[in-house]
Amino acid sequence: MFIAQRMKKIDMLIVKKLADEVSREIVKFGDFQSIEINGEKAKSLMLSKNATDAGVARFTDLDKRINYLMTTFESIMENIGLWKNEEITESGMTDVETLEINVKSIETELNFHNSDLERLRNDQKDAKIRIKKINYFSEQDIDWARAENLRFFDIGFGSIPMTGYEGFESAMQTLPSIVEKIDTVGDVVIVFYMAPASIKDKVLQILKSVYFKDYGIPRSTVEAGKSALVHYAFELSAAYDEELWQEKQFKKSVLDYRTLLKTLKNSAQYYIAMERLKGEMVYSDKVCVFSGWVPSKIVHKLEKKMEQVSGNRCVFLEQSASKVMDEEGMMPPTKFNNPFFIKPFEMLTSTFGTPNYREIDPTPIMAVTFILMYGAMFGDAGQGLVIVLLGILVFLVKKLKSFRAFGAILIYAGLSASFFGVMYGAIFGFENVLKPVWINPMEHINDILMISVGYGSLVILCAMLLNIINSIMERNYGRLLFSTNGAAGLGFYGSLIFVALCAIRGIHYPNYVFIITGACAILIALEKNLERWFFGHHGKGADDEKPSIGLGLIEMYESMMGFLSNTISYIRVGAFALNHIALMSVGFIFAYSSKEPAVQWIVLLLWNLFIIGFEGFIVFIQVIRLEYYEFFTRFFRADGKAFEGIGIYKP
Amino acid sequence: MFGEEYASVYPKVKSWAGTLVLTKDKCSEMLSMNLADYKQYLKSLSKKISLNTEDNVQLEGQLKQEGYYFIESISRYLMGYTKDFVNYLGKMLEIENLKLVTRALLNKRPVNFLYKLKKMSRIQMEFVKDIKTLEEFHELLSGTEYYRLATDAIPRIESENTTFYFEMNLDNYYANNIKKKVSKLGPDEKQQVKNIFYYYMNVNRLLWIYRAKFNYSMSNEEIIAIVPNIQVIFNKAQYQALLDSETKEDYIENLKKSGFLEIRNPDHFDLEREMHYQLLIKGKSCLSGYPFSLGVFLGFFVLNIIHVKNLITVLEAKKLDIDPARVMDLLIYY
Repeated sequence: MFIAQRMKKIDMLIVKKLADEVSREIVKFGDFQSIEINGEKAKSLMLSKNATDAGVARFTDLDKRINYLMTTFESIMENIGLWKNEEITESGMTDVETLEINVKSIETELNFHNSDLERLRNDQKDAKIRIKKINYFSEQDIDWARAENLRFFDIGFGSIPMTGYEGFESAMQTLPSIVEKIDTVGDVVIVFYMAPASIKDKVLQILKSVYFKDYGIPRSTVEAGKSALVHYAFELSAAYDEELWQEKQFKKSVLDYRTLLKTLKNSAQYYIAMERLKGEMVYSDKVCVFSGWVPSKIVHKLEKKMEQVSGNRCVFLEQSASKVMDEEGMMPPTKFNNPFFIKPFEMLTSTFGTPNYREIDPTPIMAVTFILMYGAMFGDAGQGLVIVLLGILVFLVKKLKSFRAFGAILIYAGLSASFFGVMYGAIFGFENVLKPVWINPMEHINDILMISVGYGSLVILCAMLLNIINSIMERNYGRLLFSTNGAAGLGFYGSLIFVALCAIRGIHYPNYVFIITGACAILIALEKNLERWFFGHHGKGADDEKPSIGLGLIEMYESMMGFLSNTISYIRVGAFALNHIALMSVGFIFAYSSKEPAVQWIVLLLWNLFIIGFEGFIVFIQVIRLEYYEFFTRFFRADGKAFEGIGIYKP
Repeated sequence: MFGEEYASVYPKVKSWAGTLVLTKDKCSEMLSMNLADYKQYLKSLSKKISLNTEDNVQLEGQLKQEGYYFIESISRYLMGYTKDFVNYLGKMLEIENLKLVTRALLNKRPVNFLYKLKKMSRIQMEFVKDIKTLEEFHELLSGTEYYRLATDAIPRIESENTTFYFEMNLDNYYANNIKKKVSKLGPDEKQQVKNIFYYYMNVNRLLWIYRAKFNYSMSNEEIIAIVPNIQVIFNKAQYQALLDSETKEDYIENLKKSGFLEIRNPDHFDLEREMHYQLLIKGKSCLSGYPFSLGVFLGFFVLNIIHVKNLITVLEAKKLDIDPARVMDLLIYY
């Protein structure tokens, strides 16, 4: 807790022929983040890098094709969550050849299925058009048998794809012709046209351009009769049946592919990770070298594994992260190190940024202040329990990790809201059911606002202490002593808070307190200069340009304003507690405008739901705002990089 | 009501637009560099991708690909019908992929470049790289919205040895669909689409008509059937007048009369360049107009196309060592 998991830098030298096997083991091991050895460094060691881009691209392509198949199958099965509970074991992994063959064969089957469906849908469309044709011609009182031998007219009946119909219609309008749009079937338009035979060539040219499909003119009355109608209706129904059967059969195949596709997906990702790792290795004729970060507590496991795989023919060097930072200036990645009950809040910290390896992880403190503030701002025993239930629902129903974390945060927030509800004596907006254990905010408005500001001051002081600790850890003594959030800032702000407290309590305070305040203010104004004088031009945080005192004074003024505005900003904690009661009382006014008890209860129920959704969300945003802008910005640099283990696949 | 949904779009677009090479000075600067420096310069311009190749074809592809990422990025900030419309702009590149594959298969050449699209598109390199014939490609398209178009077109592609009709059919398909998307937008957005995006689409369609008329000598009826006046930028009489133009000069004169074109320098006139110049002016005015509107993004969208066109022209010219003064004439700038 508070600091990231300790890391070690591992350098490994192995026999070249074992590179594949070692890579495989490391990917399985998972908690290994490779460090790129740059080309120049490799050259100086007479080593070279292997180009693995083609390998990565090959498996990334396969991965993309598998994703496509999975998404398509999921939609064919109407999004039932095909791969939700599909667990894969190590024995389920496939070799490269099988992986490629399987992907190809599933793709081919999908193509066949799609082609069959297209054919059947085409047959259906064809039958529908023929039925329309019979209906159309049987309604006309004309002997169509003679139409075939027309000398002066060219007539036709057929379909045109919808995309081409506008062009067809416009083009035919330029000619002396009649065009009748009979109907639309699927993505085609059925048309009948008539034009003088003298312009037949022009008409044919247009028809060709718009992909006209000719269904012909009936040669006899028999063709336009009922028997033909029955024939096409039968064809249509057969095509419908076959389509249903085809879909059912394919759904069965999809279920059979469920495990296989998941296995293929894991295998592809596994090979991608392996290829990437191999890309980071540098080689000579006989050996290969690679480096990476591993959490300290499991380094020995990896060492054992490597010795086992290589038959003790490997050199395994480990260096502590602090040594690497000092000697090579390399910053290790950050892996959070919090107990399970704080883990959900890592999501909120990560949204702001990742702590660097040398700074305090603010997650535990943030978790406490978040829970405290949420409850204080949304104090209602009943509504809090509803949020808890909602959180449990999200936690249990959504299996996704990020949603689970959100669910857990909701549970904490709800419990805190319930606790403060009991403290305030509020349940579903009723202020007269529970007796306040602590305070009724509406009856002690000044107190609740003062407590909020007092709480804010404490949080700001805490942020400054954290900044001091971070500065020590980073050995940035200029920031530690003279910065707004360092010792000078602490002295300045602390002394003012002390004076304010004494004034409120009516206690006499010594006058030298103001000397401390003034001295600290001067230190803040001269921060850059002092840093330069004491820690030299190349001191950490020192700028190249000579610092200006005028600029320092402006910065000092800005810091003072910052202290004031940030402290006052916390007043919103109390203000929202009051706001909650005020909003609920609006609900009561609405409810009691009716004299019907049933209506009153319904209005109150709906109003409570509205408040939980609306105010619950706003309070969430406000708390996050206080955490990020008032608290984090005082000490948290968040310039770290998250640890990304290479193992996506884990047996 | 005041276009607040575009509040996040504007700063992004403004920041991207800062590096567009569309002024005379920037174009001259670009031409004064040698090829190696120019390639480095291109890398410094890209916002959404890292140009990681020295190969000209790949570079061109990556520059165009960036346009797709701009669409994706903006789409994240929008919702409802506007999001649908902006997403559908990306379809243009899927159709471009279809054309590239069909051309490559017809000419029996390998497919060198395709745009990378969202995971649910099959017309991407991963899926088509092993395809050798149009029949196989047709099979791959089964289950997609293009299957029907391909079914009609492939026999004609093979018999007439050209992809022209298929490409026009695809463009019509796209134009019809985008028209449906636009019909669902609000009145202001519709107007902005008409002002800039339809103008852009019609530049290409008018060039097709020009070529069909004067290079391929097609009849009016055939041209109407192949390139219908889908977006109705012109009224019936204006469109007919264009088709009835007997000479290239008449055609240009009719474009001028319909207000689609202004000629800056009659002695030094090139239809395509002049239309793109008009597009540039329109795009620029959209970008500097009311900030919270779809027009800002659409303006940037077309300006980016012209920007990429400029960059590629210079790249090609440097490769062939063409005189910079001649290349300057080919660029579109203000």
